[in-house]
Amino acid sequence: MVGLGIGQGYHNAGRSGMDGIVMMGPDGRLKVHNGVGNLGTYSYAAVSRAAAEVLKMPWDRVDIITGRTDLHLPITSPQDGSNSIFTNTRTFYGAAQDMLTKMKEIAANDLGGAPEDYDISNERVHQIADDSAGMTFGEVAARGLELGGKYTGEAELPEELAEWTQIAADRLAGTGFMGIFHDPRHEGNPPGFTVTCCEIELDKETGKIEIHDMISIGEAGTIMHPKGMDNQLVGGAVWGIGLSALERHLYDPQNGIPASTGYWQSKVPTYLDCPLKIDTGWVDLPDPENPVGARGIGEPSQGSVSAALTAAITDALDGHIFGASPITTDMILNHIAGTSEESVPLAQNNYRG
Amino acid sequence: MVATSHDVMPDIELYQPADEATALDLASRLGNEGWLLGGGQDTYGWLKDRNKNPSAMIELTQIDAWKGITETVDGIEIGAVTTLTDIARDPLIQSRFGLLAEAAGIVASPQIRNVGTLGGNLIQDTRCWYYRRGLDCYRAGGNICYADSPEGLNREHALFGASRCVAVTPSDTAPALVALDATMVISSTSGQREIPAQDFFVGPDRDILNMTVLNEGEILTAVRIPNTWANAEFYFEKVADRNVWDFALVNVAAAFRTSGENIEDARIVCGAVECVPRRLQDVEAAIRGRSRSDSTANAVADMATAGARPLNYNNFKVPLMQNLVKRAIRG
Amino acid sequence: MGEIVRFKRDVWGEEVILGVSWDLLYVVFMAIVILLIAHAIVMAALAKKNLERPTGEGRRIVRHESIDRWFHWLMAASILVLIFTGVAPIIGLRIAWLDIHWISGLILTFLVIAHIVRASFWQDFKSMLLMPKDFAEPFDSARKPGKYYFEQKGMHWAVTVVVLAVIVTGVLMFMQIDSPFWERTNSMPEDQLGLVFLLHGLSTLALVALAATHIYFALRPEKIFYTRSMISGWMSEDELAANHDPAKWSPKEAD
Repeated sequence: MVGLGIGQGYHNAGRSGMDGIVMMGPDGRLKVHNGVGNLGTYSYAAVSRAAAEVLKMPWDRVDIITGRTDLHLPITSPQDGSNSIFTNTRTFYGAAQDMLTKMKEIAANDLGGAPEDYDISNERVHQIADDSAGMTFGEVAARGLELGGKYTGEAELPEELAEWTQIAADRLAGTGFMGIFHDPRHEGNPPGFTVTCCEIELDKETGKIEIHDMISIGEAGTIMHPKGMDNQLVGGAVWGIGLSALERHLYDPQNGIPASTGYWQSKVPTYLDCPLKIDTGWVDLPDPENPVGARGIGEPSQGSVSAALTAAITDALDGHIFGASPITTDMILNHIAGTSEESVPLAQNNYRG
Repeated sequence: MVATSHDVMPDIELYQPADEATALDLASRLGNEGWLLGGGQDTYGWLKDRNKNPSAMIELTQIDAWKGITETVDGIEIGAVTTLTDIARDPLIQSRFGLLAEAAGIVASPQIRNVGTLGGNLIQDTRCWYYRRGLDCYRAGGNICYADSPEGLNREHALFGASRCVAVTPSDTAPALVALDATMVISSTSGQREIPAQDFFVGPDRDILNMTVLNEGEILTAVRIPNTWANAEFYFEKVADRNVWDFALVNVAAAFRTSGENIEDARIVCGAVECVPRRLQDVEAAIRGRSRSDSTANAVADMATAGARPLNYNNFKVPLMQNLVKRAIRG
Repeated sequence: MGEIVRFKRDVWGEEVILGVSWDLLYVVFMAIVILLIAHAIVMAALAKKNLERPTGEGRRIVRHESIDRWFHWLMAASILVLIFTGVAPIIGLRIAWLDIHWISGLILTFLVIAHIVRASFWQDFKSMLLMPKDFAEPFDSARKPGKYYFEQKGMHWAVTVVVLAVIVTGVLMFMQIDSPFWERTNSMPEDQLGLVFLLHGLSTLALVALAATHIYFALRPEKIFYTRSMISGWMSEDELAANHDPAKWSPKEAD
């Protein structure tokens, strides 16, 4: 039996109110102090690029300082809830803007004119009118260290810094040229959307389903990293397949002991439980609330795939709705054989209608 | 005991005999304390969770005499420590006993098949999750079954032959070997004995602690497959939750000899429905002289599951088993 | 060895009783065999001084009615089957013992109930009562018993206690497995279940010892006429006169 399903996934995909710190020494390398975790998506690197872009720096001149709190990291949002890209590009964009402003101030102070008369290119701050009148980033950073005060984080820190960021800034104060930023609250709720369509074949004799075709399209603002975006959509799809068809969450009711322990009993999907190819695509419209136009997409594709697959199973079974997830082989067979009445449904702690 | 993961190997004496005599001596000397180690795919889970605590292991994979596939006068002989991958890819088995090649090729995952052995697949312990959790149930020498109770999670458990314990055979190759009328070669210091595959496995009514007739000090060293069913029409199918790295909810291994349109003789064996591979002799008898068709299949479907006693959550195995038997007969 | 009770972990990992240590089965069996062999040797040594035995010839009187003989032998058979099927898995015999075991157990239970009812209302219940004065009997060769002598009464009551114990614990255990009458429930807490297994095991050990002793005495030459009476129902007047006091037991004549 062939079944078709369409599903939509949504998750609010961004927060604000976090802080950003970037540092530079006389070597002119940009140090992004980054507290974003890494769940394997490497988004801590993607969000750091916002700072590099503001300062027009080549990526190999940027160091990401991350992984340990004693490296003096500002508060950043946890890597959850599809929010990393939106939330943390805002903070690092802001911190880099702060550094850029300070660079222009130092250049104007040393070379004459107003800060507005300056621009940056090729890791130099220079007059807009005369390229040759300028300083390298390294020289600016060294000058900042001499000047101290707000340029090294010893004075005029943003007022609303989180306590955590305050500690990091205090410890960094005086050790380098600092750009620091507190992200104000943004307006509205940035949504991550996906839509998935799939076609399955359901074997009425075995209760097994095979996904023949699946496509997920995401709407997540400007796509920062197409490969990463594709991975998010496909990874979320595997997750959604597990949620809809395999991964049960069971407890023995008499004794209260968990039954879904270990990789075998958890039934995480394997390669052969997933379609050979999951097509992906995206809309790529910039988000107005984010300086680089980006929004997150971690969760939504799991939701849309799960919904599409559940709908396809329902479609293959002439509209029967199980009201539970996942829909496993035994449930399908019991339904087809008409034993669902006499057979107690397995009490799952997953979603039940 | 509550399952606990530990990151290091427990303290175990490891013996790595390189010849048969030493291995048999060790098995005889160490008895119950000497855990037989093939590919280790059943072993390491037990050890990691500390739910079985042997003091010694006898690794059998270095004994060349118990490895490989050889042609004999009336069939083939497969060493018990031959890997499942080697069996699935062996040209002789593929051409003559495709049923076994198919069954061996669908066990678990490619990685597990690369190290997992035929012997290990046959004598692996049941996968009842209560038992594997390390609970002191009947099969672990206790006095209770946690799976067969009004609220027990027994979706993967037995339809037939339950006696206090409701665990099932997890093996994919076992039904195939029963269908092929294979013989198990069991060695010990006191010699060799041969047991028909069907009698090799033991249900809980006869022995609630062991799944095979292997006694202390005995090692399954080879499997002999006679040419009785060579080049017959075969059917193997395994239905599991996942398509890789999972155990069968039900599997079926079948062999047919036909003359013209009609079935002369057949073997149909199901796994994961009983503690032992379940041979469906009534069905085999009923389809003799009939064609491999829908009507034959439908006529015997109910017979395939006659006497089934479903538990709380495994009713689905009844239609599943019927359907697999029907598919086997239809071909 | 050395332990009497085995323990296990319950579902929560707490230590609970699992049952009796079956090492004791070998201990009890060997102990009883040694004791009985010792008894046989002593009796053989004393035998020379013994006088001739009472003869089975002559008039016959009724010792056991037919129905009671049936009761005895059916109970004996069921107990032997129960012991065999119960011990088989312990000593490693791979037989499907459980169904035979509980069916025999049920048969024994009904026989015992029927016997209790019959003994209470239709038989001479007093003849089996063990009174304080009976304890003097083994030490005074002049005292002759009524229908049953001291050791027989002792054996009977010992068997009664042990059989009732195995029956009560056995029925409780039977309720924990699937049967044609119910589905098992796991309703008994594991510590209680362990206690039941322990009591069943201990009474089994006692029953093995008692059964061996009973069979031994039944086969002893000076007592074999009691066994004959349990088969055919009668004993001779000579046997009666030699072993029993007619004032305390006056059986009717056999047909």
